[in-house]
Amino acid sequence: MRSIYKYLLIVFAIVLQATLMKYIAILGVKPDALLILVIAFSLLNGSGEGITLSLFGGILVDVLFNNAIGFVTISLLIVAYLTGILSKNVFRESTFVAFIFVFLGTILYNLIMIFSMLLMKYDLNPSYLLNVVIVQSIYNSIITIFVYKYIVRLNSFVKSKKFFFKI
Amino acid sequence: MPRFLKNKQFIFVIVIAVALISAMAYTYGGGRNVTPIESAIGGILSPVEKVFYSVGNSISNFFASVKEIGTLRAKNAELEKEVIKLSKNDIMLQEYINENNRLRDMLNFKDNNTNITTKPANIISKNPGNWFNTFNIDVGSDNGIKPKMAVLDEKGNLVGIVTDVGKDWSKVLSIIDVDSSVSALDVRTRDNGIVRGDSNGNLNMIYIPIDSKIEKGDVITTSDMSMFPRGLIIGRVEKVEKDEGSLLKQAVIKPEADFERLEFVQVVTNMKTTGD
Repeated sequence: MRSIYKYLLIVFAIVLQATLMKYIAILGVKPDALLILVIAFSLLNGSGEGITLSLFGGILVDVLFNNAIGFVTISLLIVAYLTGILSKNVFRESTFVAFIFVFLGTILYNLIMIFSMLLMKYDLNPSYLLNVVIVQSIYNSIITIFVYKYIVRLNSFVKSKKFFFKI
Repeated sequence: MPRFLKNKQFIFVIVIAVALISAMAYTYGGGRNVTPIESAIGGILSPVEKVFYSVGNSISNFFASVKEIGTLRAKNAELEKEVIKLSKNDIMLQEYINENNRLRDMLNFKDNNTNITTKPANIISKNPGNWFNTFNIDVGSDNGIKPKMAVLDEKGNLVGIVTDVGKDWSKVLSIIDVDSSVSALDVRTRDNGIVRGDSNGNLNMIYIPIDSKIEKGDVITTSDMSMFPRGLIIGRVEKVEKDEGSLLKQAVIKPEADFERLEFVQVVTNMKTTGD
């Protein structure tokens, strides 16, 4: 039950994302805190946790904000699963590795999103698509540089046995 | 049996993905009262979001007003001029209204200008992603909100349409979303068209006849041919384009409502047709 901290963190990230993130948008593109968190935890703890966290966060976002439930969840799920599989072969606590994973993960996430939008016959604007994909992947990965060490610390704190009380 | 089928996790992911795609197909399009579970999730989180959203707004309003201090005097003089001009216009309009009513009586025209009744609402959050322009408001089925009701900003400009309704919250699809389309009318030339979002925060009006005299600055409103009440202001024409080889014109429209700084909206409660 200790991982409740992670779930609370994800809920907090979603609330922040929906209310205050629009003030730090660059070129009209907001970073994605949920995606960063899911990729980071999936990288640290493997694909099993990636799947559960992405399902939890994705369904929450879809239920709260999206018209079609599953839009965000399916993209998050695929990215988290792949990250989890690939994480076996890399040095997990390194910020540089996280930087690369978030950069590529954001591109993949947005491509899956575009693909599902194409399936639903959305009328898409190619220049805007490119703008969102590029700006968001750079923005997300730069944020990762600054926050990843805190996520690692939180992760080891959650894992460690030194708890004052058990939830 | 192929090797990858023995990987339980992989099969689990595939099953979940298929389930999600079916969920997507089932829920896409909106216009439904959400299930009690979804409604409860929104009910728990909306008060929290409301607090964050209003804090963010008040901070940004503070900075906006600091920025505006220098230009206040000039703006005030300009507005006073505008008021004088408008009050003159108002007298003229009164004359026209009387004349219009008299002529209507003579021709036995039915009055179809029903007044709209609205319910005020606060915005509690915006879509966290970059792809969709939707937001949530703090009224729901408890306040008589139904799917497909129109949503206006404080000044009465069209902002969007209610898609899903929870117990005390609902989702609104803005007209600038790529998925939205509204039947529209040029007030001056009476040309009909469809207004759609273009994912850049602007609107595209399509299906305008090639011989139309539509030009920059024209006011675009909702037409009587959709479920929206007619005469709601959508925006102004910014640019008219003609596709080579196509028999139709297109126009880029700047929305009249300020989607970046929306805080309060009103929901039209007496629509012609609302969901079920």
